[in-house]
Amino acid sequence: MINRKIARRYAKALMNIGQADGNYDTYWEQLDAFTSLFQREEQLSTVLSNPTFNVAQRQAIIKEIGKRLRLSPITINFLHLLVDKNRMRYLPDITTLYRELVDEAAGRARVHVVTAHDLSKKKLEELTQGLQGLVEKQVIMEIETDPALIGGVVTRIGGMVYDGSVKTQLERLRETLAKG
Amino acid sequence: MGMWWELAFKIFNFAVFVALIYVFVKKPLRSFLKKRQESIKQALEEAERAKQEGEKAFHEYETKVQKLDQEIERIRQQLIKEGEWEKERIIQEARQMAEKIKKQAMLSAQQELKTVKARLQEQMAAMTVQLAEDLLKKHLRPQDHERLVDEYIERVRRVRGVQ
Repeated sequence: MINRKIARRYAKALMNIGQADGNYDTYWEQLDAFTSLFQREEQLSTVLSNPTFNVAQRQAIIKEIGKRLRLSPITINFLHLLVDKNRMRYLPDITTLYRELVDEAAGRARVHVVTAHDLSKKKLEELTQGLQGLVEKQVIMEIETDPALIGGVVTRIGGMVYDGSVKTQLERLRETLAKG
Repeated sequence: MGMWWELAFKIFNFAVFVALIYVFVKKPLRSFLKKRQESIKQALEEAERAKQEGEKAFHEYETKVQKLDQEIERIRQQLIKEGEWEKERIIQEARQMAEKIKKQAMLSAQQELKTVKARLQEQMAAMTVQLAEDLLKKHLRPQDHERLVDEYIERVRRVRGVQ
């Protein structure tokens, strides 16, 4: 809870800058790229989160990675700030919350879709349109396949879950039969 | 002659002796006799009184003994009655206890039956669903999956309509 509060403060700060210069989407892409690397490379996350390493050294590492990832000076400075304030361990949370702020500002909704089988392009398009109509926003589909659903679709938009899977229907059937 | 004088003298002596005894003994003897008479009389009275008291006591005890028989009979009757009551009470308690045990056993049996029924129903439901799941996994074709997705899209549209 406290982690989220701290992360939200940093995400909002970056969002304010992004909204002021209109580059919040760019910062999101860059932050996402750096966070993916940070989460993937255990050594990198250990070094950057460890306060026993010199701040200047850690900032130099960020600068070097920033050059290779072609990060903007604002993004690099933001990451430097996190090192300086010893908040690097909150980076994944900050990125998630920043993404939510960016989506909100851009009028987008991120939808997590789970299907039992891969959807055809046509069906995916129809589903996207249906969901866009539901949330009245542009939707970004995050698609996952889970054969355990047996059939149907489950979507999660924010805190709402729309469950149309065969697995859930069978579970409801079992509950109804068990009640008699 | 002398013999007559001697005899007369002895008689005289005896008479004097008797007269003297009479004079000296008369009063104390009379007093003694009177006292003795009174004492005997008193003793007789006391004996009479004691006899009367004894008779009275005898009568009292006789009455008491008679009453004692009645009392014993009353107590016996009372004990019989109490015994009957006690017997009745024990039988009543035993009946109530038996009824209670019967009721409890009935409730337990009903509860057990309910639990078993619910468990069976759950097992039956799980087996039915498992069977349905296996059949669906086996027989769902790509077009069925597409139809499920279509239905889902339709439902999403309907939710939008409701909103």
